[in-house]
Amino acid sequence: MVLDYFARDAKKPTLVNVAAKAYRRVALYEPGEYTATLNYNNGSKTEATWLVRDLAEERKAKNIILFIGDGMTTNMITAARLIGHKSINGKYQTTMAMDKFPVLGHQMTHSIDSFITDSANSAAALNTGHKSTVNCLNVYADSSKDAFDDPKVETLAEMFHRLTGGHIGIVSTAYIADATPAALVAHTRNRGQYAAIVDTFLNGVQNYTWTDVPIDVIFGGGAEQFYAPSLGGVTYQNKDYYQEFAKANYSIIQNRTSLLAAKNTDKALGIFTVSNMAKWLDRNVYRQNLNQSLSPSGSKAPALDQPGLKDMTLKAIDILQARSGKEGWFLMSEVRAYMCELYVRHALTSYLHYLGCFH
Amino acid sequence: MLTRHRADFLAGQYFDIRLEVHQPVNGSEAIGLPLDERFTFTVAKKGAAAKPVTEYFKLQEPKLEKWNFTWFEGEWCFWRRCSL
Repeated sequence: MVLDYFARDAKKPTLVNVAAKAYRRVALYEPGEYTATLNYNNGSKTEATWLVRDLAEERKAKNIILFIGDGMTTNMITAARLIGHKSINGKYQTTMAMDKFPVLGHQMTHSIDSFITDSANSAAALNTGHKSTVNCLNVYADSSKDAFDDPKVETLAEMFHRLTGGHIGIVSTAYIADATPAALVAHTRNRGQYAAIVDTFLNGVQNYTWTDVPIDVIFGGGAEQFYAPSLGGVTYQNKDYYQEFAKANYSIIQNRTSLLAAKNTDKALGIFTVSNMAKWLDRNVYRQNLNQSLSPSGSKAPALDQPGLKDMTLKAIDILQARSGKEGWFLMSEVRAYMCELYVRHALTSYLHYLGCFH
Repeated sequence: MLTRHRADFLAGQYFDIRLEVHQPVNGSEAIGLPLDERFTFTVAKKGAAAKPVTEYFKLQEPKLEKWNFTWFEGEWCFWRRCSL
């Protein structure tokens, strides 16, 4: 099946005038089914059915860690088991921790407008329970040009903090403004608004009244959204975001050594490279590849002392635990491009990396 | 209408509602009506009477916003020749 772009070929666009309203920050408190009805054009109507699900009456967990393997499909989990565990006559002698979970689910990742998802709307679905459109972070896409006026949906991190006072942490091996880490608190039609997303980490949603979520820990890559434009940074309102976070009493961390030494009682911003962080294989086996990642300071020197996901996650837990007290904490820990980080126990890995890591 | 049909919410989860009425000026969807700026919106729990949105959520009526956009119509072709 193909699309015939007859109107585009004939250069005949369709013009659509729009009249719109937005009702901001509402909530439905009683579980059950609702009907929303839009009446327009003198007698036409459009109905929507909404389902409100009840909250659990009892809090079962104090602390939550949401691990996300970006691109971690069933096939990649199978490959990880194959590499990491011995099988005799078709029987695995050991299995992964994931194989031992008491409850295991399977999520379908299609979006509203595509069967092939992207990290933004799939992360938004995980964080809000609402399917959205490709490139959307925790909003439904409206037809206006503004990427920050689309109707928002409250996220897990926002609800968790609002209801319990719990503390929030974000860890990723990607650049930190990327869609998966952004999806804890960002609300935009366009996941590419990196600089504004970094500002949201620090200041929350500014253009509307919305749930404010202070974030205790942010660890990842993407220094180009932090260092000053004079060094080549591309930042929100041309500010230096290391300075902005420091003014808000975050300790600023730029390598593994100072990550491990950082005080657990302080809020922490750890940015370890420009762009995505180095992969496990490059930090441990092909160390000469580290020259390809640049220092988070913006100096253009290589970033040779980078932590891995394990270092960052353990430190984030230490900080959240030290700071949160009885309220508990919620940590999202993402490994970017999961297929490139498979644990090495077998020579086959090189071959899998050859197959899987062209970027 | 956003939030969309068949959406699931957690009780008490904050969300925004966006309503848009479209007036296609040309193309196959144009119906020759003026842009309706007086549309209304109601919310009803199943089995209860529908209430105007401002009453249901105890809100002030927001101001009307207006914009326009253009798009190109296309046609899906299956088992027949397209003019590609």
